[in-house]
Amino acid sequence: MRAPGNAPLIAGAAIVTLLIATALLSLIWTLYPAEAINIAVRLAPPSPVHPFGTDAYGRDGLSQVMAGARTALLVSGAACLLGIGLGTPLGLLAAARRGWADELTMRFSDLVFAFPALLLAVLAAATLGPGALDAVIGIGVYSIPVFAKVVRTGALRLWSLDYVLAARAAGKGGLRISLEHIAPSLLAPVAVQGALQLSLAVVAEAGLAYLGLSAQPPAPSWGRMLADAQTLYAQAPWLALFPGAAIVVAVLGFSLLGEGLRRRFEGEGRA
Amino acid sequence: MSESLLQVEGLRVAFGAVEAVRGVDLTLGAGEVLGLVGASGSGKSLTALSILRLPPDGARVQGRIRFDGGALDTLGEREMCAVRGREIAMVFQEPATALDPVMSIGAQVAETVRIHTRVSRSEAMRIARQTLDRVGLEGMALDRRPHQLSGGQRQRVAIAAAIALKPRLLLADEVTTALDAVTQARIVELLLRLVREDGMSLLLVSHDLALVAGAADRIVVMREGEIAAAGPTAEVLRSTHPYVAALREASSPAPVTSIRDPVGSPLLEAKGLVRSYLNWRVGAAAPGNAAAVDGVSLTLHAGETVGVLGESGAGKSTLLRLLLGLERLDAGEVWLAGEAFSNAPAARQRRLRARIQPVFQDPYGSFDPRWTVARLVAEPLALLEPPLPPAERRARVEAALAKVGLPPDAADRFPHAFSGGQRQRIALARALVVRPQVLVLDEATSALDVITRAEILKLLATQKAELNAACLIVTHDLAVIRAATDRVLVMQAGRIVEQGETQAVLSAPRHPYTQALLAAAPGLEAVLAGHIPSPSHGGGRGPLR
Repeated sequence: MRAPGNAPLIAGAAIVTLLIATALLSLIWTLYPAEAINIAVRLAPPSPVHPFGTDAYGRDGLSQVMAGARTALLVSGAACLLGIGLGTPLGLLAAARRGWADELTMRFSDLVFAFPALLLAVLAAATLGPGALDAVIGIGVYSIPVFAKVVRTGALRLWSLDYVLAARAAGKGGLRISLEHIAPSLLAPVAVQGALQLSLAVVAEAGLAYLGLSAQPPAPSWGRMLADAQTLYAQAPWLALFPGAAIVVAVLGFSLLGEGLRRRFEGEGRA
Repeated sequence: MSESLLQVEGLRVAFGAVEAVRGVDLTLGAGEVLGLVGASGSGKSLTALSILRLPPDGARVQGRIRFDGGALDTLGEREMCAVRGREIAMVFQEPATALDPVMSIGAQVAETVRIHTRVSRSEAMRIARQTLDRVGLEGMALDRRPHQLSGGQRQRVAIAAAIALKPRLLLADEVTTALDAVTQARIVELLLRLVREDGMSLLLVSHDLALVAGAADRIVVMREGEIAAAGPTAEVLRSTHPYVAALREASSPAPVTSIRDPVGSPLLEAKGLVRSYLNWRVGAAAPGNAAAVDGVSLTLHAGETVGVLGESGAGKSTLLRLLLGLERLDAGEVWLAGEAFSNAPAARQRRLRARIQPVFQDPYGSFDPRWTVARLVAEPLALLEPPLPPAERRARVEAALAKVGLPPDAADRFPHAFSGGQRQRIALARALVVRPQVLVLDEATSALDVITRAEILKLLATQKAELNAACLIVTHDLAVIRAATDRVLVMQAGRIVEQGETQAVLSAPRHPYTQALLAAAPGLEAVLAGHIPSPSHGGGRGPLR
């Protein structure tokens, strides 16, 4: 019945599709090889030849931003999958078992919440050596309790419904009810939270990369491009501008997607 | 009629091509109580909302509405806002959602006052205090919040917010439906007193003919968007219109069971069941354990239907969950068909579960909206050992659907495609699919209108006879107890306070609580017998028989 346009969903989906397309394209084509050093054209300002300019080693800015999308999406996506993969079962367990299982899960969540993603990434780097995996672990572990809480809250509401009672009267146990009745109904809130969490993860990844705690050179990364640009910003402001804009666009895309999904699912709930 | 306060002519409400209200005329005089009766979906709520010009999204409203000599249907939204709450006020069905949970009750009542008048905050609060006193909440602090109140108290707050400015017309849409019988009677009494004191007119919308008959001067019966009958209460009640007759009959369904002597050993036996909860309730005298079920014993024999009667909060639903083995027992035991069910090893409990199946109250919350009817109905089949082959599962599901009067193609649809009554049939099919020996119904007809209720009860009686099963019906609805049960247990605060054969208990209740329940229940017989309680003399209800 209700069909007002969902602008955030359309805009968000478009931006995210563009990001993914760029990342995939960068696997087979970039304007120049992203890692190719060419001192002859170092610090060239944006021009038709180098639309985003070049850096101190003469690497092409556009090619690097394109390839950087790969790192940003890969690290954020893997971190969110880690968060969903571990957080969802924990939330389902907490709601299904209540009592001490619930208490334990939620206190564990509080504990993890107390550690910033940065600290977790530093800890991971200390044990594993620096690399993209540190960022995945740091951001991923940090988002486990986010998903656990979203799932638990939704699941607790569902557990109080008569159809779950009917399923229990049909002899189904906590695991089967969680899988058959609870989890499918929670796809919507998890998807919404996932998109919002991705937008946070993009920022977090950039932050960690800036500190050298994410993908290592020569793999291109928006955060490290910003770090490299820092000392040269007066001379070559475009070095900070383009990767910075890329981060903003990515965050905006995922946030809009999350908001759009939320509206979409709320509409469904009303129908 | 020149003195009529409200006049509705040719009201039509349509959603797309579907007309939900098809030409309704109403008149309501000053100080008059008009009952608007109809089954769910008859368009009665839409009619009330259209008077306030608050139809749901997507509705097209046509027709003339005149209030106090002026047209309402041509007023702009801004002018209409001045009418709503000031001249015409409305109280809704669900007291839990009609109040803002984060606002104190004083502020909610004062809000109406401050929207329409330019009085100071303290003056508005003073009016709120006075109004709350008038609706029987004397001494209740203004800073209480809705969640600290009972359903009946919340409804009183909602009424206070509606009448704070002494409107000329009050629209009450199913205001007592969510409440138990005793609270229902008190709320109706309150509304009638306010009508009397303020000279206000009241439009009482309800599916419950008996309730309206006890309160209204005139009744309009709606069916499928049209008026089926209208006139003075006594006249409408005696009307020979087939729909009114059906409604009247369904309001006090005739007993469909015959009392038989329980033979053999009981199918279900409960001994001294106790279940308590930690008492977190705000305002509780002392934190501690509150017993929801406190030493309840009962037996149920094959072919027998036993009712458990009690108000909300009496522990009926907890009792039922204990019997179903869905809740931990603090003490006591449950035996099913001669075997220990409570505290039994998991394997035996699973096997026994197929013999006891529930039907729950809420026809909307009872089904996973993502599952097809076939999958939902088949769910208890998981209890059968050995598992049935898929073809046979399907056959069992279709047989169960046929038994409850649903077509086989219902199996592949989703629950939202069905009406409340049909959903309750699906719930019954789900319980019947494993051919249980004991059926337990938790307020299974409470959300239904009287005609659907009568159909479901009839269906239940047939199916019970076919399976030679026993039924336990948990309800606050006296009509259901009277119509469907052989024996009744009256429950209050977790204990059984009275029990016996239904006829005997209902005709000569011994416990004061049972007497109060009976006195509170709306009875058509009394009205038909000529004891029409009119607003002018107290609005109390006559004795039941």
